[in-house]
Amino acid sequence: MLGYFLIAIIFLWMMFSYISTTVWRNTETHIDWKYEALTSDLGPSPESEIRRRISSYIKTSDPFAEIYILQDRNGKTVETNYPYQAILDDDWIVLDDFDEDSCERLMALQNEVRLPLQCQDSIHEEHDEGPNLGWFSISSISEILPLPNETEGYVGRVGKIGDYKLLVGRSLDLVDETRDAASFLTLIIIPISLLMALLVGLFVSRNVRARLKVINDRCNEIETSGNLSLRVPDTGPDDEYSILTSHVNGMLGRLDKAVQNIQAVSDDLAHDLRTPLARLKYNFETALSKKSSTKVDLQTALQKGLDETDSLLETFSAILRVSQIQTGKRKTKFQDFNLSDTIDLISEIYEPQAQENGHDLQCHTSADDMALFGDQEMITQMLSNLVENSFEHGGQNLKIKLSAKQLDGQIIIALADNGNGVSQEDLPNIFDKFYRGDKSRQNPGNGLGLSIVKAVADLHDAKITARENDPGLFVEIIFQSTSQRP
Amino acid sequence: MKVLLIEDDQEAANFVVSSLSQLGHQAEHHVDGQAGLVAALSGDYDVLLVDRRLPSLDGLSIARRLRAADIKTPLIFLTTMDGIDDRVDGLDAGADDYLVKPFSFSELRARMDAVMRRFEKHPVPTESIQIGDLKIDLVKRIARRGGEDIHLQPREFKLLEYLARNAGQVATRTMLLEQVWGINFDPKTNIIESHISRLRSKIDGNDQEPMIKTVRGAGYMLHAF
Repeated sequence: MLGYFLIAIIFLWMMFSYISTTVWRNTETHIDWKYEALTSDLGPSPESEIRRRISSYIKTSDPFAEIYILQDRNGKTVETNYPYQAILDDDWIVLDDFDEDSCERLMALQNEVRLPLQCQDSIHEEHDEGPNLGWFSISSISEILPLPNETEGYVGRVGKIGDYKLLVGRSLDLVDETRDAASFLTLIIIPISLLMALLVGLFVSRNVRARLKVINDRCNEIETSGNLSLRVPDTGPDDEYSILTSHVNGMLGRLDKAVQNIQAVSDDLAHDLRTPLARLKYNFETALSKKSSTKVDLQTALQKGLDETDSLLETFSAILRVSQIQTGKRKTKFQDFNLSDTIDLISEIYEPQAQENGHDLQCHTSADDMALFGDQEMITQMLSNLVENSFEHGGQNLKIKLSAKQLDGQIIIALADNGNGVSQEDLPNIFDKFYRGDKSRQNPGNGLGLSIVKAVADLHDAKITARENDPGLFVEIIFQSTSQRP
Repeated sequence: MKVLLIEDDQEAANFVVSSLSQLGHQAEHHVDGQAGLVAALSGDYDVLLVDRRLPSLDGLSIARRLRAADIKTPLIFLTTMDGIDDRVDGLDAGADDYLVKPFSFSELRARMDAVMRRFEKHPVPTESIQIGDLKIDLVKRIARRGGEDIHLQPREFKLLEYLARNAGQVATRTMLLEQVWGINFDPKTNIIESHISRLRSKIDGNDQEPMIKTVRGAGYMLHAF
């Protein structure tokens, strides 16, 4: 903070001295310009020409801003707009140079007459052009040159034109006005602005800190309590902090969902795996405990156990598969393949079984060549699971229709059956892991088939929907086929 | 046959070693990956069975180092990592086949036979395969038995071709699904049974000697007379 003020003070001082130097330099330039305009190219009769020029200047200039005094060799004023008597004497008015001595002389004079004195080095720097050129400050000689009204004094240039002496002066009022304005600016306006900026900065940073504190506190709370259902409250206006808040909340939401999913999976695992494991154990215990068990009995029990183990292993594989698909790592293996071939394969695989079970499986594609960008193996698995789902939960004598068509750059795969369908309340959940509607609980399967379908669809950024087919189930998967090509 | 098994699970190793011994094969077992690699580098084995996760050196590295050292002994991964990526990684590292635990010994045996056969008989481009009185023209995609043309669907032909290329060897269900249908999961349908039965009726029809044999609990085999 101290540093800030120090820098501000140095900056202000530099600014003030720059402005004041500039003001003096401008004044000098102005006087020089006037002087040169009066004295250059005077022609054959310089005295009469300069008188003519001065008289025309006087007519248009304000005596309180600029004064002109022209005196002949006897010290008699011949042209002027200065209302008082002025004596331009080499001895004490005309200063050849503003050297240190001159300044001291003027300072001494100033003390005597108590008038402001301008003794700036910059005044004379560029005007050492000859013995008849000099600079002076009229305020220092105001005894002789009484000041009109409240005028603080004049600053000007005296020179000799032939036998004449010429004074061109400019009111210090004008200089002072500018300097006052500069002082006002640098000493009052800018410090106030800086102070206000400081206050605003403090306010903003307090505000920022307050808003960050809300986020930090909540993150800390979540970190210590492990409660992922908490969210960061969005307190402020719609700005970067509320975007940050919504990102943090979005992340928390995802995390929360993932953890909930894991919890749900482990709960379901506990249920879906513990039950068959328990059955397995009872099966073996019973076989072992019966003293009358024959070799055939034991073999039957072992075979039952083996079957049970197979089904357990399958459930495990399915769980692993879902999580593997969900990691999205397989996207690197995407390539164009012909979906029609895949549908044909599905037809070939399931047609015989469908016939055997009295179902009617129809597979149809709108074109023989239907390029889909994706993972062929995953899509095959997905379609296979869809058909198996109908087989397992649809009921008897089903009509199952699997179709794929290309429409407006999209590829739409649809599976429709006329089986038992899914009840309205079960529909939103059928893609959840281990979800099994009440109707399907008695049917075989591990409740993971459709979650694999959903996981594969998600991997391909495809939109999957399920609805009632009246009767039956209708599942639709829409691929944005062409747009995903890199 | 001399088999090297690198496997850190003692139970699984016992199962494989005892099953192999029963068939009269000589099986050597290493628990540690590094020690297994040293043994395998001798090039002294007919087939290598390697677990993916091993102490001190994992299976993928073993496969890569062996291939880098120009040891071409057939290698089969035995693993619990059954993701598709895992399988692809395994084959990329230089394995000849990939078997997911738990597996039946008959599956392992069929696959060992298959990789050995591939290794011994470098597949030479051939135009036809003749087995007994069955002739398969691989260019024209026609099969003939006893001078009679047999009309086969493309998939049936592919199935027959695979069985013929591996004649006298067991082809398991999963091997057929992988090689003939190109799918790496078991759709739990009778697709194989129905194709085999169709193929049988076509090539074994007319009271000829049945060529396609069912090997109980293992798979199918095309008989070479």
